[in-house]
Formats: sequence, C-alpha cells, structure tokens
Amino acid sequence: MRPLYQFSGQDSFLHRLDPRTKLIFVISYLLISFLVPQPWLLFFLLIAAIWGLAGISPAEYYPFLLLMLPIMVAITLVHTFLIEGAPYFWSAHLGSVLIGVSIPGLYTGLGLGFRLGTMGLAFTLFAMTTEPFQWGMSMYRWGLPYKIAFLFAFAIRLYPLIQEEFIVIQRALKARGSNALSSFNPLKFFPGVVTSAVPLGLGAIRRSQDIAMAMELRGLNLPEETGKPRALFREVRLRPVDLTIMTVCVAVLAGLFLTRLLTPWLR
Amino acid sequence: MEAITLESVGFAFPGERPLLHDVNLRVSEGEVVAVVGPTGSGKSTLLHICAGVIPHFISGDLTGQVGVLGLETRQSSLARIAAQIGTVTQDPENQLFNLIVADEVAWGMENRGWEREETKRGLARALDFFRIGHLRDRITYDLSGGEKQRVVLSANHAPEPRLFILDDPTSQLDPIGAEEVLAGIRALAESGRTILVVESKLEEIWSLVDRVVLLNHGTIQLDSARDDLHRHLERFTEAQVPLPQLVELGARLRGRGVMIEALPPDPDGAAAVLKPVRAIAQTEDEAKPVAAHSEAARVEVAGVSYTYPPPRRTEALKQVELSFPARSVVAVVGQNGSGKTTLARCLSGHLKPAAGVVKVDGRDVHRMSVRERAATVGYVFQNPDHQIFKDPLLEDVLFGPMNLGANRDDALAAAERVLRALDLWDVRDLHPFRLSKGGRQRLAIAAIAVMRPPVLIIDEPTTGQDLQESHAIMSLLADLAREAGQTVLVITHAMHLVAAHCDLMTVLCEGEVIALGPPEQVFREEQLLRRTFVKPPPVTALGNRLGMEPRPLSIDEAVGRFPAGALGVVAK
Repeated sequence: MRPLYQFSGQDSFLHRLDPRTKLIFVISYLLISFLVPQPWLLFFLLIAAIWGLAGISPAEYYPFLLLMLPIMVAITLVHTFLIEGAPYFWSAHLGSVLIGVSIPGLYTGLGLGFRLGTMGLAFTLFAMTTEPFQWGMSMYRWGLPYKIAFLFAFAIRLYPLIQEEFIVIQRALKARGSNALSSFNPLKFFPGVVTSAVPLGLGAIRRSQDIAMAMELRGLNLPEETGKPRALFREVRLRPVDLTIMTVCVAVLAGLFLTRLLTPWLR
Repeated sequence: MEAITLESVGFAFPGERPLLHDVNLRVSEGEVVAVVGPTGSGKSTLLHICAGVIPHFISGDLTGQVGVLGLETRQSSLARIAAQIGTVTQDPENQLFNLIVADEVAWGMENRGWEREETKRGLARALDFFRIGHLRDRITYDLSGGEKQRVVLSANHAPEPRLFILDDPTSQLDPIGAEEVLAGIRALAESGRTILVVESKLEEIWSLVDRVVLLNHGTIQLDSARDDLHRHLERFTEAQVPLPQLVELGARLRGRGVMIEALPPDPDGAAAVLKPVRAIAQTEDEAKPVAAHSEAARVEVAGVSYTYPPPRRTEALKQVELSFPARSVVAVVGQNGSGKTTLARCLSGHLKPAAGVVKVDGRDVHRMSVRERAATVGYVFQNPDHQIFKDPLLEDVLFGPMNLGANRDDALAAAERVLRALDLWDVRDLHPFRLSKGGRQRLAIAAIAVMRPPVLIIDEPTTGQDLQESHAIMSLLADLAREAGQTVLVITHAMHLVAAHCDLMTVLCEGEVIALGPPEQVFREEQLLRRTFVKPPPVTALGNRLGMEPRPLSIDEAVGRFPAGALGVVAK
C-alpha cells in the first residue's frame, strides 16, 4: 500500500498535465461543489476521473476513503439531528424538546459531507498525479525563489519516508507492550503520540542534518557562489491542452456562479 | 599531482578531546586508498576534512594543512571544494532529494549551470557508466538499497569530479546491493578516478586498492601498500580491525611456520596456494559443540503464506514450514526481498499471515493480545533510534516491563541484570542519544531482553558495528539463549557472525525456505546459496574447495588444521 498522498509514478493524461493546470482544476472543482446542489455527483465523478484519466483505481487509495467515511457520516448525522423541519423520518418529544431525524437535515448533512469528501479527493488527485518537483519547478517558473520551491517539493518527497518511519515506531511501541496508538481512549492515545514523537522528532533532526550536508556537497549553493545561473534540465511549460483546461475551468466556474446569482436554477 | 595532502592535521570539537591528531596523508591522482579502523577511530572525521565538510559545515578546532586538488580547504568555500569531489555516504536515503532518478542524476549538473543538452548527455553517460539506464524514470523511493546507492554514485559521477570520497557506501546494503555498488566502485577505479574510501568489506575491493591506511586512536598507525598488509597482522589485531579472512589466515599460517606464500583474499586463489599443504582433521575437542536440539520445538511455523496488499501484491512467503528449538541462536539469511523481514513480522504478530499458523510453546501468536505478544515474542528493529522512547536510558529499559504490568522494583532488578550484562549499567543516567550507534543498538536489545520473552527476534543487530562490537553483541545473544533458555532469531547478512555464533541457519529465497541446518552443513551448499546471493565466509568456502572435514567456520578453526612446519610451495 502506498502511503496516502503519494505520487503514483504512472504515465497518464492527468499525470502529464502541468501542475498549475491541475491546481486551477482542483480549486475550480471545489468551488463548483459549493455552487451545485448535487455534490455527491461530483464526488463520484472525481473517483471516475481518477480511475479513467489517471489509471488509479479506488483500491489504491481506499484507506483515504475509509478515513473520510466516518467523518462524512458524522457530519450527516449531526445535521440530521440538529436541523429541524418537516418532514421527519422519526421524531419524539422529550418534555418540551423535540428530538427528530429530519429529511432536510439529512440532505444538508449529506451535502456538506460529500463536499468535504470531494475536497479531500480533489487534493488526493493532485498529490497522486503530480510529481512534487514538477510542481516546485512550476512555482519557480512563476517567480518563487529556487531554494524555497525546491525545499517545498523536497518536504513532500520526504513525507512517505516519515510515514514509513512512523509505522516502524508504532510497531516498536507494540513490541514494548504499548498499544497506545491504536487506543480510542484519548488518555492513552495522546501520551502514546508524545512517546512516539521522541524517536520521530530526533530521527527527523538527524536526517535533516545529513540531508542538508549532502545537498551542499552536491552544489546547492554553487550558482550563488559562481554567479552562473542554474539551468533546469526539464522543460516546464504550459501546453495547449493545459491552457484549454484552465480556460474551461474558469469559464464553467464563472458560468455557474452567474447562473446561481442571476437565476433560481441552482438554488 | 597530489589529490589530497594532509599535513599534521588534527581536529577536536570545542572543549572535547581530539578526534584526530598528527595525521599526515598524501593521495596521488589516480590512486585508490582505503581507510580502515575500528568504530570511533576517526575515519568519517578524516573523510569530512578531505571533503571540506570540516570546517565549513561542521565546525570545530581544525589544525594543520589540508589541500584538496590544489585548494586549501580553509581558504575556499564548501561549494567550490565540493564541485571537485563526488561524496557518497552510508545511507542512500539521506542523499536522494529528487523523486525521479533522472532528476536526481541531473541535479548536480543543473547546479553547475550546464546547458540542457549538455546535462542530457551527462545524464546518459552517468546512467550508462553504472548500468542503471533502465532506472532513468523510476521513483527513487521505490528502488532497492543497492539501486539507490548506485543512483547516488551516478549523481556524483555525472558532473565529472576528479576525486571520489566514499564513506562505507555498502555498509547498509544486502549482499546483492553491495555487489552492485562494488561493481560501480570498480568501474570508477578502472576509469582512473582518485578514490579515498572507507569500506568495511576490504576483501571485496582488494583488487582495486593501491594502499591501505589504518587509523586508530585518532591517528594513522599504518600506511601500507596493499600487497604488504599481511606483514602487519599484529597492528590489525591490536586495532581490532579484520584483515580479509584468507589474508589473515595466510599471515597466521606463515607465523606458525607453514611455508606458503601470502594468500589472496578469494577462496579459489587461496585454495590453489594451500592445495599442496595437507590439512589435518579436527580433533573432537576442537569441534564446536552443536546445540542440543533434543529440546522440544519452541517456535512452529506451519504453512505460512503472506502476500502484500495492492499495489505491491508481492507474494513474500509461500507455504513456509519451520520449527526452532529453545536454547538456540538461529540465523535467518537471504537477499533483500527473500522474505526474511516478512517472516519475522509474521512470527512477532506484526503481520497476520494469509494462510498458516505461527505457534510459540503451542500458542497461536495471532490470537494473543498486544501485551501477551510483547511478553512472548520480543522484536528488536534494525534502527535502534526508532525504539528509544524514554530518557534517561534506565527509564527506557523500564518502559517495556512497566507496560506489561511489572512493579517498579522487579522491573529495576531485571533492568540492572540486563544492563550490567550489556555493559550499560554505568551509563544508565545518560540520555540514550548520547550513546554511540553500537551503544544504542545494545540498548535496543536490552529494552526487549528485559521483558524476558521466550522468543527474541533481532533484525540486523550488527549493522554499522565494528568487528569487536559485532562479536560482543552476538556473544550476548548466544548467552541469552543458553542461560535464559530463549530462542533467538537473528536476521543478518554477516555470514562470519553466523558461522561463529549461530546453532542453526535458515536460508530464504523468494519467499521459500531453501535450506535449514547447522551453518557447517548449510555453507557446504554454495551453489544453492548463490540463488539468494549468500556466500559462505571465505574461510569456510576455502574448506569447501579443499574438502576439509568438518568445514572450518572461523580463522581460528582453520589455522589449527594446518600443522606447523607443513610444506607449501614457496615461502616468500
């Protein structure tokens, strides 16, 4: 199983798009999910798009879906119980207080739950189809200083390593008879997090020192030292398909926004 | 021209005793010089000085003159020094910054401002040189250890530096990975590059090395041509640094009056020299006692299979059947990906097999609670730093027993016993991270051993340790097995330690057990072992070639088998 939010390394239509195009698509998609009354449709459309256009089946990121599910269910339930208004599935009076399971509450809860799910899924799409350094270098092309862009991409590159380390630490804790990180009791869970933070934190500090040294030895500061500018090996440029998708995203978003503003159709 | 010139060099961290003193070294362009020495002798410090890391990245009190490729390192910047040098360290994971191999290899050239077409040519050249063209578009964290380290070598080679500084680049790799990297280093040496290398597997780079420098107690104690090393056995013995096994055997035989020429480090070459010398059979007194395996099976593995979930989908274990007795030290060997760690995780309950059952003393491990499992199967992970949870050291050792519900007084008594046995009692109030790597490894073992589990699994207990520390750890494990009646399973690539300390060994290849038995028997099957890139220790391989019965498992055993005064071919 790949760690969550890890680049999948395939070659597909979505993988080949410029990161900036995908970023604009993701932001537009999220805004659209708040403009249309059927966010669940967008949620399932996105799963289909990731499968069809990136070749990544839900089996490869089901832990993410499993993680989202209880949150989506909780949001739905809270709204179902808290929002009043007929018709009700079921209702009862507890003294003067009405307790009910309302259908409008259910729809509002489902809507919010799916919007949240769509948001997470859209970022999953971005992360699984975008090579972090391509993203970093795109930002560099748009004016971000090289070192910030590179280190930002490097931090994403490091994330799966830290996740793997955390799994080992979790196992090491179990080997010492502590099941704190699997506990639902916050009084056990949070001290377990603090305990596991010791090796994780110290390991990260040690690793970052080694990495910083290795970067220096491979010439990170050489352009500043010699005055000879860094030349990127990969071409980072927007292709016609990127420009087309960006334009379509902005146009659809604007169209929906105006439709909602000026007509009753999307309300 | 000299590539490296060190004159009266010393180094100390502020307020601490010197790590290096009075070091004088000259390395000519095109030379390959190996630096050897025990842990803490200053090998890495010496390489850091030559690479300019000291004083530019690590500061301290550097004395004397350091010249590298015409630059006085103190006067030059680290970037300018580094531009002339390719530096490779032990852990490839800390030297890979990009996600895609091609980007990684191109990065150094980008930093030097090479034009795109020039970089593309450099990239192709570097990948071809290390024969990793097929990895060009792969994700770096999906590669094996050997592949990662070859990418690092390639990335350092691409901008065409004149000098390579290699700090034990194979120490964290499995046999096949180490072999791949050593082939790369061989190619570098053959192309005429200057190389300064710390390499624990001296026999593997024997043919490339011009000189060997022995560093001990912070200074150079010996600077010798490779072919003269056998004359300096006592210096190596005193420093607890191993010579290649067969080179040492030759030196010791000559010291006993066996008239032979110096032995080469490879078993075929050594067998040719020793063939005319008749070995005598081992006496019964000398024979290593084989553990009494009349003991009932403590660990039983029956029909265990495990397949990793998608997208990996690797069938890591296939219907594995094994049983291990109490009071035994068992080595689990095989190349990376052969299923060793998966087997260990199934045994310890961290992974649940898709089929089959694992029992300890008749109880199914996977039906136990986390606490019961921790008390039954102890697991020491490879990296000790992942297992340090408390400060000071004593509290870290108490953490496990307290989790299992022991009262503090009992836990303290058990901790004292274990810490004394591991030579850690006197430092019990220190922060664990103030210990050396070897010390932290011993602490990780102590933290599990204190829970007295009937089964103890240890993943690579001697990685990064010198010979003395490695033997000390393995001896301790053997003592635990015999005195506490434990079954100790050791996952390792160090075959000389398997030969010296293990009662049994099991060999895994592609998820299947291909051999199980005492090392003396298993090491006879060289053809079979080759399938999983396991080689017997050179001295045992020599025994195989000479048909010695029983096969020697250590240099001591081999030495005793050649009578003093026996005639060889030529004594040089």
